[in-house]
Amino acid sequence: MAAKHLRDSIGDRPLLNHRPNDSKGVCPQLNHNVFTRFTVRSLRANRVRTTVTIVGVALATGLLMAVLASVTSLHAAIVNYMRSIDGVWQESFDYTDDATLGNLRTLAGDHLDRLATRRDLGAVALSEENAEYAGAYLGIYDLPAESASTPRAAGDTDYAVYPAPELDEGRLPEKPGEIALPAYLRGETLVSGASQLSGVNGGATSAGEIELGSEVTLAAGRRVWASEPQTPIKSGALFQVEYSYETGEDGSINEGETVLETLADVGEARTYTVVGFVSTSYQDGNVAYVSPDEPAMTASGSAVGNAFFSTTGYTSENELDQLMVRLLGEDGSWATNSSLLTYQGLDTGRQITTSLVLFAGVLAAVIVVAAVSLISNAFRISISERTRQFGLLASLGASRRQLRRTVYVEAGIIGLIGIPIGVALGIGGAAVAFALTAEGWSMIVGNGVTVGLVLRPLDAVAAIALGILALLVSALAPSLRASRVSAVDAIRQSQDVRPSRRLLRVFRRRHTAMDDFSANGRRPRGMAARLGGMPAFLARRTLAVSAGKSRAAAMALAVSVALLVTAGLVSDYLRGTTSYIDYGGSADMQMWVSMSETSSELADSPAAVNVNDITADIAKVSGVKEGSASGLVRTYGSVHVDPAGVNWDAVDAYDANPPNGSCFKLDRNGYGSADFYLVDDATWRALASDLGLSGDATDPEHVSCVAFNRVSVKNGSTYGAVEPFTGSDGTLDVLLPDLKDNQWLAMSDDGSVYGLLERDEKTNEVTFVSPASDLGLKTMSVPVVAYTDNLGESFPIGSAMMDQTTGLTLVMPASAVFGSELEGAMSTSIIQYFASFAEGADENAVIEGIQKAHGARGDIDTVTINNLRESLREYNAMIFTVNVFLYCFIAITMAIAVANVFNTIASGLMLRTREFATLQSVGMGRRAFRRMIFLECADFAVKGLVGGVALATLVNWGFFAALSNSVSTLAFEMPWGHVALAFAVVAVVLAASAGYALHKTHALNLVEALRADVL
Amino acid sequence: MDILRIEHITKTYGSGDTAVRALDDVSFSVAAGEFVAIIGSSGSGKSTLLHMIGGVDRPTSGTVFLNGENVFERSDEQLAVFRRREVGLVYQFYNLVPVLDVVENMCLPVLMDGRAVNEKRLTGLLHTLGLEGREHHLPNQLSGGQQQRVAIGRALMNAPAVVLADEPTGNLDSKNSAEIMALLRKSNRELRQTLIVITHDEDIALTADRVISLEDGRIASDTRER
Repeated sequence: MAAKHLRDSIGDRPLLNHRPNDSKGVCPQLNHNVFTRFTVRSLRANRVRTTVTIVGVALATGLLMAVLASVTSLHAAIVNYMRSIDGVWQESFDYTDDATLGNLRTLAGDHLDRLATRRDLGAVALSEENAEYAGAYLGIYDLPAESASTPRAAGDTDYAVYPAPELDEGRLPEKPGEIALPAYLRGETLVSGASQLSGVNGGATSAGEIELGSEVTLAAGRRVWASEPQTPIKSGALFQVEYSYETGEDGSINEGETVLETLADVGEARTYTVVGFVSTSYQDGNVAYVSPDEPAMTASGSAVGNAFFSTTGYTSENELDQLMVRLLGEDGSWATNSSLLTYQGLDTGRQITTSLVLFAGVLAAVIVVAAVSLISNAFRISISERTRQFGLLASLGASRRQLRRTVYVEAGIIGLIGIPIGVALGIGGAAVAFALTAEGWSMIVGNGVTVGLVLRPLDAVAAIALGILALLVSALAPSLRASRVSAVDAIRQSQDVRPSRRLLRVFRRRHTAMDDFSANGRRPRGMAARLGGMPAFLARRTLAVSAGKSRAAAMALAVSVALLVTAGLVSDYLRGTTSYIDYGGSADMQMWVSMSETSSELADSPAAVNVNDITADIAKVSGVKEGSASGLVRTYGSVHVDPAGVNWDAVDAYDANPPNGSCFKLDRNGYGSADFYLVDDATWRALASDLGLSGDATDPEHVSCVAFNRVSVKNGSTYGAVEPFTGSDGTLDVLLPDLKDNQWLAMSDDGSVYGLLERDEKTNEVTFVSPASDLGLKTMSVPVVAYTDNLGESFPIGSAMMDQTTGLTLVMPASAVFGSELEGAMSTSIIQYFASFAEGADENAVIEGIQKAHGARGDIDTVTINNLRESLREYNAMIFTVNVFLYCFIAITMAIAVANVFNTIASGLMLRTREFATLQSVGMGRRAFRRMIFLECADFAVKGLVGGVALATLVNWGFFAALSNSVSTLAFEMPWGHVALAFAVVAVVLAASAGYALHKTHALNLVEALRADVL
Repeated sequence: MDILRIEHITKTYGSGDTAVRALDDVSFSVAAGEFVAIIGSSGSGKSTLLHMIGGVDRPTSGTVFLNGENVFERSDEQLAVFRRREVGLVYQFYNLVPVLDVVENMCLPVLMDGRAVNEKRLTGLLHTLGLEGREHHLPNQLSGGQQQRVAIGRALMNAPAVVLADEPTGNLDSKNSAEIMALLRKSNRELRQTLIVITHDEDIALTADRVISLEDGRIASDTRER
């Protein structure tokens, strides 16, 4: 054939016109370029495949870049978080001589980056009464000041070397005589008196309760170890006491305390004006702060300096340690900011850095594998397509090395275009993702640290290197294959089909020609042929022969399907956890009211008794949504219900597997305990209206109750709910026991009888005295106006929370209870108020307004206001952030897999054009042809989907198994939406690939395709 | 009786200035059982003519009647059926399906038709073609001559009205060429199979009943040997 080809060419061209001179000057260059040109042309000729391959390389590199940049950025955010909390200092030491600082400058030289100092002025002994809160001493420090003379060569100045104390109220001291006290002393009175140190009296006094502007008198000394040498102890450190336990002869345990320190060098008492209150910092301990200009306080005028410094250029914690030893000597002591060093990578022994690196490594490995699969697939196809070209080149004298090089040239061209695009894509994508999720990340990292994209040249280098590595690995096998193509193979053009061993075994088993066919000879043997006829038979045969070729792409598809489904799982799980935050109620704010004088007596609690007034106060605050304020006093008491009105099956179902291990608190005689939710008048009216009640029932002054007829039950691994009341009985009795202090009503230990329990005051032993039914207790009948498992939209507690009730729950109007006999029958547990924001209201202003309103009342002590809307918003922002990154990762992995599948299917089909032409020329119709292609694609889809869903199920199961112990509400459930999405994506990809290939083969000229000499 | 009638076939490739008239008003008919050799230089339109008769390509104008029916009145789908039932094609480059073995390749047209494989005919052909013992070899395990014999087997398996061969020996050595031509000749004689062969080889042309010579898309001569 080659000869004929040659003859045809010669016939057209005047061969003799070639001038020998030309070859000398042009040929070396021509020779060098011929393979490159050959490659460039073939890349151009297969524009779609080349584009898909370049896109694949770009996506893979981009994903690598994005992952590396994200990890770097998050790492930087964590380091910044550490800096914001602890400051940027790496080492800290105490000094009494300023020369030590000079030594540090000399020893560290250029490594010293930033230095801050402060003085430990001494400690004030607190009287035993004042020591109750935070220990025997109040330390006095001045505010840390950074040394301006330090070069600050490379360090960042966003965060302080050592953070200033966090203000709770007021301001920090600015001049001598001013002081900022720890916040717990606000409202307290400092008194003198014996301290926990023998022979030392409290050195702190105040004239009355301390508030901003108060004066306090302090006499500070130096804390030293009691034993020689009496070295100083940091003034903010914990009280140094040794505890001992001795077992006496009678078996009693005697606790002993030995104080290990003492206070020396106590100076004169001085008076300070309180200008602020600060939060206690875990680094400093129980400390008050004065201005840097404050004169020394001890008698001798000594002050211990605390130095904090950061360095640059050291690569390990060891180098820092060596510096400290040289500075302070072998016996010197210093403190290391080890959490910061860990994140700075100086301390590599910690796990967190390792796990971050591991995380990035695993992701990078997944991407590299997916990329290698894609690129090598593309190369393999490209080489197969050009087998004849390679053979021809080989027959013309191309060496194996030259042939191999063409493949690497191809890889080089693809890399040169794809990798820079990828790096740009990765950086851009990561920047967009971080910009979108900055708020969420800040919330996750915490402490107001801003999180943004941090670029390191090293990451780009790594991404490029990994991209090149993927390309080289991908090109290796095809280049070997290209170099092995022989001229003979090329001319025969049949080396692409090598029968697999499996296929040869099948063939070997047959003996006669007719063994191939079914009994009537109508169709080939085999399941596929029986069901699908000739197209199915051909499709199956093709797949059997070329199983290995499509395996990589099918696997890539399976992995991406698994990733997609798993992403669904994770995001479903995250969304599920929102219910912990989202109470599902109508309220935006939840207020917890606590009293300083706690009493479970309902009548003693003004926050409960005044529920209507307090609710009205909240409602009056501007910015509170009209009608949204409500008050809820949670109490508990004992009841008797007619046993005929109880759904005992439900009670048994509860007792069979109670959620918290207890029993249903109702005995067979109908005696038990119940939770009473006492609501304000407006809430009661709204509830009555929601439930469609009428008459007396709507009147909050009228004694009646609504039974919440729903109790959660755990049935095996799933949660459900049962209705404890049959709902037929319209009343229940509230027990009005008159009990002594050491008596109470409860279930007996075996959970069978509700009755009176009594504690012996001497032995503390608890005995069951008598069943409630035998006590002849006074009762009050309360009509049940409704049984419902839904308290309606306007009830402040949403169904999500109400679902967690585990016993009888009765809602009653507070007004009807107070002043009646019922008041004494109930004990308070929690008092809560709820309200919502009016549209457009300034949430912080509203919360402040409510706090002021509460403060003005004078009968409520502490109100904690939870902004539920804010919590939900924060939580959703976090979920959004995680989802954005999750789905970005999945989407790109999916895109790589899609490119892979497209390349495999479309190119695979196009490679077989001659086979298709043959099939058509021997009479295969278009419909049968399409069916054959469809079946081949379907095989792909099934492998990808079944493999992927199976993989995801496995992951899901592992996830479930790992979490089901800790999160009891988690149920094993497949994210079917995402499975469906995966099906849709796979179907679309396969349809597009097959469609493209079919379009190409449709346009194919049968006559042309059948000519074998087309190169 | 004429089994094949070709009337005023014209085929033009391209359009405008670049238009090439591959066939120019070609008409002739072939009797059942006749062995026709078509000769001509490269580009004379031989292969184009063969593809028209085989229903692989459609003419620009003119008609082809096989067994009295107009081939090109059929739809693409019907044309596919026509190709598998009425004609057997043999190419210079064999064009076997690489994933199917010898028997499967030979039976392909029958199976596509959903008809039963005639066992007697299959074993007879395998014997005649000298492919016994190679039933389950894939094409790449066969020599060129063997591959061409499989292709002939495929063309004959359905007992088509016409066997069309496009330079069937063009890729083979003289020994294999002689064997292949003997096989075709045998089927023509023994099975009264109508045979149209395109060839460069004058020796082959001389064994035919009739030689049609094409020049620039026109019939230059049409000689019956006997």
